[in-house]
Amino acid sequence: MTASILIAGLPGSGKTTFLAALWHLVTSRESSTELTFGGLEQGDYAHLNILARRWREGSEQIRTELGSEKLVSMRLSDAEGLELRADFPDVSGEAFRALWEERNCDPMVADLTGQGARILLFVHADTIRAPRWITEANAELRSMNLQPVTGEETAWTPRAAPTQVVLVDMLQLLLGPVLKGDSGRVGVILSAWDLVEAEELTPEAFLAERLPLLKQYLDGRHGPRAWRAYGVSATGGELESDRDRLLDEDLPSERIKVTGVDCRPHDLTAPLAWLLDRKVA
Amino acid sequence: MSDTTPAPLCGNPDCRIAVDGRCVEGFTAELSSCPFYGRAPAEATDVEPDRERVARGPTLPAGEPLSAFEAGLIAAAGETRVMAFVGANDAGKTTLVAAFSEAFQRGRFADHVFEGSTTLFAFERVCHLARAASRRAVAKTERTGRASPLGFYHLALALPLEGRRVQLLLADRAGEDYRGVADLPGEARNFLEMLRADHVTVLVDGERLSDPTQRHNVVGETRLVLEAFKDAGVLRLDQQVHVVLTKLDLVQASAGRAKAEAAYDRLVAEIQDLLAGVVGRVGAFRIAAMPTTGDLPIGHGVDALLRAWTARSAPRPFIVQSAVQSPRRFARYVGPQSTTIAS
Repeated sequence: MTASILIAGLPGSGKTTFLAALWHLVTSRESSTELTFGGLEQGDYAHLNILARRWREGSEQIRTELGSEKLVSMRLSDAEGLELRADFPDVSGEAFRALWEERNCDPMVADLTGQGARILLFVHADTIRAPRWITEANAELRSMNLQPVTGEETAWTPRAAPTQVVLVDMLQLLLGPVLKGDSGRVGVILSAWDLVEAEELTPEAFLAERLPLLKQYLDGRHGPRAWRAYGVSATGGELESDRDRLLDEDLPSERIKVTGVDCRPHDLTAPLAWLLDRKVA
Repeated sequence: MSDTTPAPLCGNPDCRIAVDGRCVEGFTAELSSCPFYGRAPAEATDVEPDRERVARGPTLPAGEPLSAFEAGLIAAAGETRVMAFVGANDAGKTTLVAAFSEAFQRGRFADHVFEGSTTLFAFERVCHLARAASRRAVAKTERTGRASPLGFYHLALALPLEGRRVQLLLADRAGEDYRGVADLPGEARNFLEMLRADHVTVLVDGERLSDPTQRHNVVGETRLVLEAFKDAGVLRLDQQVHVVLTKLDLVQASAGRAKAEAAYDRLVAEIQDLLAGVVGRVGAFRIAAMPTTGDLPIGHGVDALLRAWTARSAPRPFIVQSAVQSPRRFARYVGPQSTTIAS
């Protein structure tokens, strides 16, 4: 069977790093995973191999630029030995940003949703823009005996919107009547989870606290029928400060950290297995 | 700050903290709380993309206020409440709309849960001037321009404690139009949203009411506008009217507080007399949707108003009998009686 997974998210949300780590994880077989590597078949794996190479070196991934999107495929098997081919378009975050800002959908994204791709939504857990009101900011300044600073007023741009508003609208559009995405299951990947795990929240609790509008939408009638959130650190730490430690790991797969329901600690295939409703070990 | 102190670093390309010392996310007093502070500026790929490079795909909903036709489609799909607002410019109509968007971004509100909105894009635009990102020192909301056509903001809400769902359609119209009704009462019949509204929310500007030079005009203008709608026959017995005192924080902070509150109470009583037997109920609410003094929380009193809007109502006839038969379908259609949440 062939399954399409739309990896959706704003620029910098960790989509490409996830793909890189996933390809290394399944092909290296270093760690136990829900879905296992089904072997190479006819196809072009150059893009995935480049991504995985940079990941192993501890190098930053090069952001996917508009117009350079690639469709990558992996042959995977589930616990019952059922083979599936998972297609992942490596789509630029700008294409998803354009859904909100320009009310425009990249044709590749539209094709995939129309074909029933399941959605894996990426959110960088540490760069969530929250709504911040002048009233609140001024109250804080007053509490410190500071006066509000008058600056040049800026015109509104869609780029200024809080993260959760953009994500809700993005999902509404992807699952809505025009793009017709598969609303059966949606997975939410909270990337860079290592930067927020000190808060000791489960991924679902983190969503409720930091992205409450998104959580309400996911739980509601117009959201997916089922959803799960996973905390993922595909890198295992911050490359700037932790690179030496990460490179010192004997098994690179063990840099990966996954937190979520029914997850092995390094298993990036667990969200995919759930998303695709596959039998798990 | 000394000349040798390095300029503060911020990953948000829109922030000019290195220039004016102000965090655009509103964390000037507590920079460590800003998710972008201390990070390297965003890479080039975060810059506005070359629009020509974003290939055109299918046309997506604009996210702008809905037309009457679009609102009608929503009303046809389930239990809906249409809210008409009456009030002069700066009385607080748009601020109240923005306050609802803000409330649900913090979580459940007044036992209501957000389920979706087709106008999130429009909500964000009206919220901007009240957000720290606007770099304003005092919050305001973007005024609905006179050239703007009638539009409806949309919220899909659930009331889990009651096992119900409700769609809210909040009419948005320029304040000048309402003043115009007092001048030309014949125009009242063109207010489509009044013909269809389940609730008419009359906004009484608390700031003007606190000003002795403005107080009597506020009262007089409000009375005249409602007279015009009443005499035009657009109000109905199954409608509720809510007389809302806005900017309560400014009222409470003003020297004219006692006079303002007394004037408001008298106005409510007058409206109750005026509309007795014309509408189902006239209620009173005091709110501070976006307080500027800091003495009241954001959205003060708005929860009670929301509960009044979504309260269960008596079953309405499928076709509403009105003294005015609008040629517009939206004005006539009532929609299904209720939608219960499936267990």
